[in-house]
Amino acid sequence: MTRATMSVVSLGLLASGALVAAALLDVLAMPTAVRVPLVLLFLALGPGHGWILTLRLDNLTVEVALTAGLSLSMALGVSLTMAALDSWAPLFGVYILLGISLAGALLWFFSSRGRASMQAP
Amino acid sequence: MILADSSVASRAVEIEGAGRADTLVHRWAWPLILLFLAANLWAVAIFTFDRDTLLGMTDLGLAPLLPWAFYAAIASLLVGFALLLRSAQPPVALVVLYYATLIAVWHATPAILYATPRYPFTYKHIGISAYIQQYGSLDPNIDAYFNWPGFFALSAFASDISGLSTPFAEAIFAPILMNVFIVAGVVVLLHAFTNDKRVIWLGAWLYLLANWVGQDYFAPQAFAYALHLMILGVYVAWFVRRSWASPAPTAASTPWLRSAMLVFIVVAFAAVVASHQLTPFMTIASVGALIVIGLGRARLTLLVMVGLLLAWFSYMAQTYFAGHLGSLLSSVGRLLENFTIASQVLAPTDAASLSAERLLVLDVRQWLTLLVAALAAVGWLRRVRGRHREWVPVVLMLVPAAMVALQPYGGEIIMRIFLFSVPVLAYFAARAFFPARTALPARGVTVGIILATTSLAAGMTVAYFGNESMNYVAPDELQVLDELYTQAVAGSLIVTQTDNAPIKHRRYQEFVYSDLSNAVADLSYAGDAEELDSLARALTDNDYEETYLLFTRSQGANARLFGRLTAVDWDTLRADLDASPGFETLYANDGGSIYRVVSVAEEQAP
Repeated sequence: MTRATMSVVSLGLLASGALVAAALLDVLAMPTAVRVPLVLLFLALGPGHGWILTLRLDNLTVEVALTAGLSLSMALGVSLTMAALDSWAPLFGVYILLGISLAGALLWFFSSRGRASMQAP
Repeated sequence: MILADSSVASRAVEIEGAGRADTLVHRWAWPLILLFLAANLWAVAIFTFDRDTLLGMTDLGLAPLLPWAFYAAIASLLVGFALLLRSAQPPVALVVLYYATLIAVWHATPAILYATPRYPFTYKHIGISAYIQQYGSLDPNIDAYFNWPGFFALSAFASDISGLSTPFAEAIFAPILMNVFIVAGVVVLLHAFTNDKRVIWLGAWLYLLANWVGQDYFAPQAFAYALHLMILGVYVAWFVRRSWASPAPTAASTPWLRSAMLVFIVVAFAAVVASHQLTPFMTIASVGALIVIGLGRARLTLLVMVGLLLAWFSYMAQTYFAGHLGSLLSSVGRLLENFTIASQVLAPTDAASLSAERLLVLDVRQWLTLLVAALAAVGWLRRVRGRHREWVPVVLMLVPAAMVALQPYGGEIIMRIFLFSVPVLAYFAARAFFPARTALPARGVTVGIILATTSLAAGMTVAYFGNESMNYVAPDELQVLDELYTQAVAGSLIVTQTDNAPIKHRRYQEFVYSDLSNAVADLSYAGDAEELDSLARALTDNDYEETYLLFTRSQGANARLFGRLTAVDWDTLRADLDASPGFETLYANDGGSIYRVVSVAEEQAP
C-alpha cells in the first residue's frame, strides 16, 4: 500500500475513535448498529496501527495481525487499569487510546528510516 | 513532446491494467465463482433453516439438522481454495475473503440460528463484564475470574463505549471475531516458519478445518490464545535461529526493530497474563524450550515474562492463590494421574451410560485428531526427505504436551494440548502438499488437498458441533434464567442440575451456587417420595436466605452427554417436584423450571 493510502486508513481509524468519543459525549446521535462496528474497528486497529506501520515490515498481512494484537493489548491495559484503580471512566479511556493512536500515527508519518522485512528462507 | 510522451505512457498503463484485469479474470475465475456460489448457498441454508428443529437436537448435535445448502457451501469453498493454491502467489484479498467466508459459514451459522450466546460458560463471562460495567471496579474475593480480569475489563469497556448495558450481544457474535483474531495469530506464526505463501495460506486453512476444541467463544482463553500465537510468531521470526548452524534469525532485522519487537512481546504477554491462568505457562514453556535447546535468543525476554507472571501472581492474583495454592500444587508432577483424568474426556471409562450418538461424536474427534496428526507426520517426513530439518516447529508442537505434568485442568488438559499444538500440526499438514516451493503444483496435489480438506470438514462438522444440544440456550431457557434473576432473593443458594449451567449473566456476585451432585452426594431418583423429602432436607440444611433449584434444557443435555447423575430419572423428578409441597414452582416453561425449596418448618406451618 502506498503512503497516501496508509494516510487515509490512518485518518479513518483516528476518525472512528473521534466519532466514538463524540457519541459518548452525546454530541453525535449514533445508532448502536453503527456504533458497535466503529468501536470494534477503533479498538482492534486504532491504537497500534501507527506504531506497527513505523516498523515497515513489508508484509501487509503480518502488519494487520500485529496491529490487532498490539491495539487490543493496549486497550486491555487501559480498561484494566481503570477497573483496578476504581476509576472507571470510559470516555477518559477513549481519550487515552485516541492519544496513543495519534502519537503512533504521527510517529509513522514523520519517520522515514528503519526499513526491514520479515522473510524466511 | 511532453504531451505525446505522457499519452504513450498512459496508454501503456491502460494496456498493462487491462492485461492485469484480464489475467485476474482468467486466472481466478473459478475461485471467484466458487466463492460467490458458497456465499449464496450459505445464505440459502440460513434462510431455509427451520429454527424449531433446534429443540429436537440429539446427542449428534447440530450436524444432522443443517440443510444440504450448508454442506454444499463448504464443499464449494474447499474446491475453490484448492484451485486458488495452484498459484504460488494467490491474491491476499481473495485468500482473506475465503477465510472470512469459511469463518462465517462455520461460526456465524449458530450465532444467527440461535440468536443467543452459545456455550453455558459464556453466561458467566457476560456476568463478570456486566459487573465491571456496573460497579467500575474489581473484587478479587468473588471468584478466580476476578483474579484474571483483563479480558473482562476490555469487553466491559467495549460494551460501555458502544452504548450497551452488558456484552450480551457481543457474546453472540464473539466466536466469529475470536476466530478472525486467532487466524491472524496463526498466520503470524506460519510467516515465521516460512515465506512460501501457499504453505502459510493452506496451513491457516487447515487450522480452521481441524480445530474442533471449541475454545473460540466469548472467553479469555480464546483472546489469550491468539496473542500467544502472535508472541511466538514474533519471537521465532526475530529471535530464533532455524538451526544450530544458522547464524541469525529468519527475519531481516536491526537493533531498533528487535527492540520494538521485544516491546510488542512484553505488551502482548502482559495482556495474556492479565487474562488467563494457563496460557502464560504455555508461552513461557515454548520460549523457554527454544532458549534451552540453544536456538532462541534474547534470554532477557524470558526473564521479563517470568517476572510479569510472578508479579501478577503475587499482587493481582494474590487473593486466589491464598486459598488455592495447595490444591494447585498438589497436581504438579503427577503425570500419570493427570493424564488419566484428562483422557477420560476423550474416551470416558463409563461409556455404557452414553448414547451411541455421543460415542460416535467422541470417536470422530479422535479420528479427526489422528487425521491431522497423520497429515502432519507426512509433511514432516517429506520435509526431512527434502533435507529440510525444521527443529523450531517440532519443538513448539511438542512443548504443550509437557503441560500434562502440571495440571489435569479439570480434565481438559488433553484438549488444551491439542489446541496449542494444532497450528504447528496444520503447518506440517500443509507441508504434506507443498514440501518445497514449486511453480505449479501437479493436479494430484490439488485433488489431494480437496480430499484432505473434505475429510477434515466432514469430521469437523460432527466434532465441533457435537456438543450443541448443551451449547444451545434457547430463548425459552433464557426466559427461565431471566426470571430466576428477577425473583431470587440476594444471598440465596442456587442449586443447578449440573456444573455446566448457563448462569450468572446477571447479579453475578449476589448468590452462592452449587450443583446437585455437589449438594447431594450419590443422588438417585426413581420416583420415591422419601427421596424427594430427603432431597428437600439436604438442600435446605444451610443458612442462606433461600434455596432455589434450577432445571433447564441445556443442563439436561449436559447430564446426558457426559453421563452425569445417571441414577436420576429427570422427567419423573421434574414431574414429582411440580407436585411436591417441599418445592414451590416459581416459574416454568418448556425450557426449564425454577423451584424454591421450602424448609420443613415452613411446610408444616398452618
